[in-house]
Amino acid sequence: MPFEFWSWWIAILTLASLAGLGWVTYSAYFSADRRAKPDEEGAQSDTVWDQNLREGSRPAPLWWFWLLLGLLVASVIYLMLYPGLGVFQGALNWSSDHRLSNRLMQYDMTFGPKREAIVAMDYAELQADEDYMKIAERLFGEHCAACHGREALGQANRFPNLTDSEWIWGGTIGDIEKTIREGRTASMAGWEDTLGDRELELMTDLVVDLNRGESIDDLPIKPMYDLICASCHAADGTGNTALGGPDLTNDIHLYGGDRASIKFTIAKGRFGEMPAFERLLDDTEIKLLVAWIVKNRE
Amino acid sequence: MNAIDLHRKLEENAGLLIFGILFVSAIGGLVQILPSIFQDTVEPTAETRPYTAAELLGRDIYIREGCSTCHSQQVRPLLAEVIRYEAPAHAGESVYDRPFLWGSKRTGPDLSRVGEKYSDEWQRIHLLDPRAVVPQSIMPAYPWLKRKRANSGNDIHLRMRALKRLGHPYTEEEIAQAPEDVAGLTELDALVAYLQSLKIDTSVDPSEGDH
Amino acid sequence: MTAGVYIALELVIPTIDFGQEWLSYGRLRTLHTNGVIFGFGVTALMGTAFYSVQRTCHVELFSPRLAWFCIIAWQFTVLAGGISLLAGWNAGKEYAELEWPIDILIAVVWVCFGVVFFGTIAKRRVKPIYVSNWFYGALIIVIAMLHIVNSLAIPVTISKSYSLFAGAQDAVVQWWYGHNAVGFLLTGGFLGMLYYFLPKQADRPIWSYRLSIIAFWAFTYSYIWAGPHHLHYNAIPDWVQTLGMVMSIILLAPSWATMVNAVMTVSGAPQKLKTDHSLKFIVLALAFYGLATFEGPMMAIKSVNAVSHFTDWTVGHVHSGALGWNALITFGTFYFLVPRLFNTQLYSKRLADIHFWLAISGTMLYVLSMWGAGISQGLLWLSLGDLGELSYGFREIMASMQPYYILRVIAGVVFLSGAVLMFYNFFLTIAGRKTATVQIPQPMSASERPVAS
Repeated sequence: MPFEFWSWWIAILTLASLAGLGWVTYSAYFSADRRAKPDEEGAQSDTVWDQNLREGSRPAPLWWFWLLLGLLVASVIYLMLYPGLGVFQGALNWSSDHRLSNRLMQYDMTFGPKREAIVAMDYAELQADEDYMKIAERLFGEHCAACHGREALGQANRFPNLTDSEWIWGGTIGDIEKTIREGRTASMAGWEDTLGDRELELMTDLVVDLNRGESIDDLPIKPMYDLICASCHAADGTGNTALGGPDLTNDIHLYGGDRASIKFTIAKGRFGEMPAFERLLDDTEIKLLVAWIVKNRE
Repeated sequence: MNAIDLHRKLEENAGLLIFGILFVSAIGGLVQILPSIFQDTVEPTAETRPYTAAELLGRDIYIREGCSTCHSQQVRPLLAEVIRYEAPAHAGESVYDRPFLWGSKRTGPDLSRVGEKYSDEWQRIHLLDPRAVVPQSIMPAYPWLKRKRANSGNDIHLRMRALKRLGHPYTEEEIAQAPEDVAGLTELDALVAYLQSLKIDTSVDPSEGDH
Repeated sequence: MTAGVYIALELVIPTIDFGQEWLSYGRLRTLHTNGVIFGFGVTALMGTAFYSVQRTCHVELFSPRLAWFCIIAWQFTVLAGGISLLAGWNAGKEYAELEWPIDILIAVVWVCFGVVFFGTIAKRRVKPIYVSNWFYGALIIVIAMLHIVNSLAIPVTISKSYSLFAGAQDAVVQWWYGHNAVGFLLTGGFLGMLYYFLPKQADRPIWSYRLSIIAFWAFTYSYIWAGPHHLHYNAIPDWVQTLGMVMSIILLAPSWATMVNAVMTVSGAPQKLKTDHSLKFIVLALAFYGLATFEGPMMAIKSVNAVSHFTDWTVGHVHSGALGWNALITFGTFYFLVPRLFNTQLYSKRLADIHFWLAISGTMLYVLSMWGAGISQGLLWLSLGDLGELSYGFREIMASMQPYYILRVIAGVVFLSGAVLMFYNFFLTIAGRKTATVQIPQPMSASERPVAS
């Protein structure tokens, strides 16, 4: 059925029923009630429903009539101005889509220049501006804190600390921006099948030694390390930021640094993931976040 | 005839009274609902597709646990809301939602754009123990999701077939394949799959959503 | 109600579900709303409808056996429904969460309720049908219509079904139901209660018959349209939203018509207000009714709704209705009915007084705390800073709700303790007494009426 039909259906039923409401009210207010036989207590007839239960004969208050009439008139005017009666858009041509695009246009006019200026600013200048840094901190709270924690200290043995020296994917401004924009996906395979029980223990010992800063060159498992680990963690264990292979020679452990956790990581692998925020944040917001993260780290 | 006399007729005749009530109370629905039943104007957006087997199970768990009592899935076309959650909701995104889950309360944040904002791992940790990652959170923990198999009722194909009857474009192969697709999944996996499917729809006019 | 206090506490101390599925907020919240609407609301309505329809029609119930079936089957349905919700059977539609087997039970009992009620009316010995019965009748018809349409679904298993409606259309159908299952049931149905018990207890005729007529028809007509105000700025067509808003605002007038009628009726007997507990509760309920029915249309205005939607303001509004209006008027009718049905005096008037003050302070505290929470939530969510950035993070705003949520728990405990006192009072009132049956008055005309004492 064409929309036209339903549009008329909506408009006619709405207006006719409103008119009906108006008529019932008017008529009930101002018609004589022929059968009413008011008594001195104010009951309107001699019907008694339950001992003392009767209905009254008083007129309905006039102010209420005007209240309803006012609401009815206001409603009809409103329906003439705004979209309500089917496809009729109303005299103001209002729609919630228009409303939003107008607001967004105003938004761009009001805040656009300031936001663009931030993108053009240099980092040192931005970091020196306390107001901007407060805004950036708030942005971090809204978008980043759920994983990295309110203070950017990392949490849950899963989400990296952003205030320390180790940056798995690189800690330069460019690296951080790329991480925020595009996200990062780490994939360390699990090696338990390749290694078997004995070699898994040996490899765990090797990583523990690396952490302590001891030399691993003489360890019998070192050739295996070179074969399966060195491509990401480097031959000397210092890691590779391009591939997201963490440095194993320091005491910073995303997934826990005790022997059991290390063994688990080697056995099962780790698949850390940082989502991409490009769609969620614009250039201004990303710039502010990078500036704050770098400043906060220092 | 005036309204009082008319009313007296009704109040002295139960049948007429019933009819009168039915007539008067039906008008609202006849105007607001009937047109949409006879005229299907809502088309899916270009990116809207029926839920996969895992997502569907996840969605049904979302319903079972009453997630929508605290989480809305509806970004309103208000400036601040669009800044917080991105693109406003479009009717075409919900055509495969039975029932709709827009919600009426936002004790926790809106979830209609939560997909891919967090990693699967974060979602898992957060569902099992919300306060491990969000200290201020007042969300309940859902430890049992990890223990249960998503398709424990062995009825995923029945669910998809019922939806197919209602017009969701599942193929017979997809339905036949479904039990296998979700075989190893826990409820937690399924729920995370559903949450990750709630993405920003980029096929809807971007000028509306992007600031 | 206990479930309500418990989940309020869960929002303050989220770990007190002890990791138990059935104690989880998402399940208990549905138990709370369904328990209050179907368990408390409908049971109160069914009971008072059966009582007052006999009194006002001057006949015994049509098929007392069927009436007993209604009452017992309803309790069973509510119990089964509650258990099913805790077990996670959830259809996902607000206030219609019960799954299809329970939905069918509800429909069956409801039809029986209708048969008993209208059957009694059909054999009445007073020709005009009394105003309270118009409202009870409308309640039965409207809820049947809404329940059946909104619950249409394709069953998959015993505990799972998919709605016949999807997406935006489902949203409009659901709130057509949802607004009225809560609103029409808890407003229109309870107005039936008001029109019987208030004039009865005040010993005055209803002030104006004309106003009753207008109030009834205007109310029944306009209430049903108001649903879309729950979907303002949601992805439904603008025209539906506009109609929902316009009708919600018109609704103010018929809602207040009854209030005016009731207030004027009581004003004829001011001295009774001081001494009569039942009347005190009913009149206080009336005040909250006036407040909630004013607040409702205001919140339906789109620009107000932009702030109030999704916030605790809505929760406050519902509770000013559910606690302030529904619970209080039900307490009032209980104080009326219990001594009368057992043909005795209330055990303690003092306890009833204390209950009155606990009820009023619990409700006020609840409503105020939710206003505070809701309005600040709504404004903080929408507030933008100097750069056009959000002024507050969602988690900060959520965390700042804590004091309000604690106040709400206190409010709930206060209100609940009042209700416990009432049960204690009734228990001692009826201890050792036999159940009385409803006395059916003989038809009489005004001239034969015994002089009011």
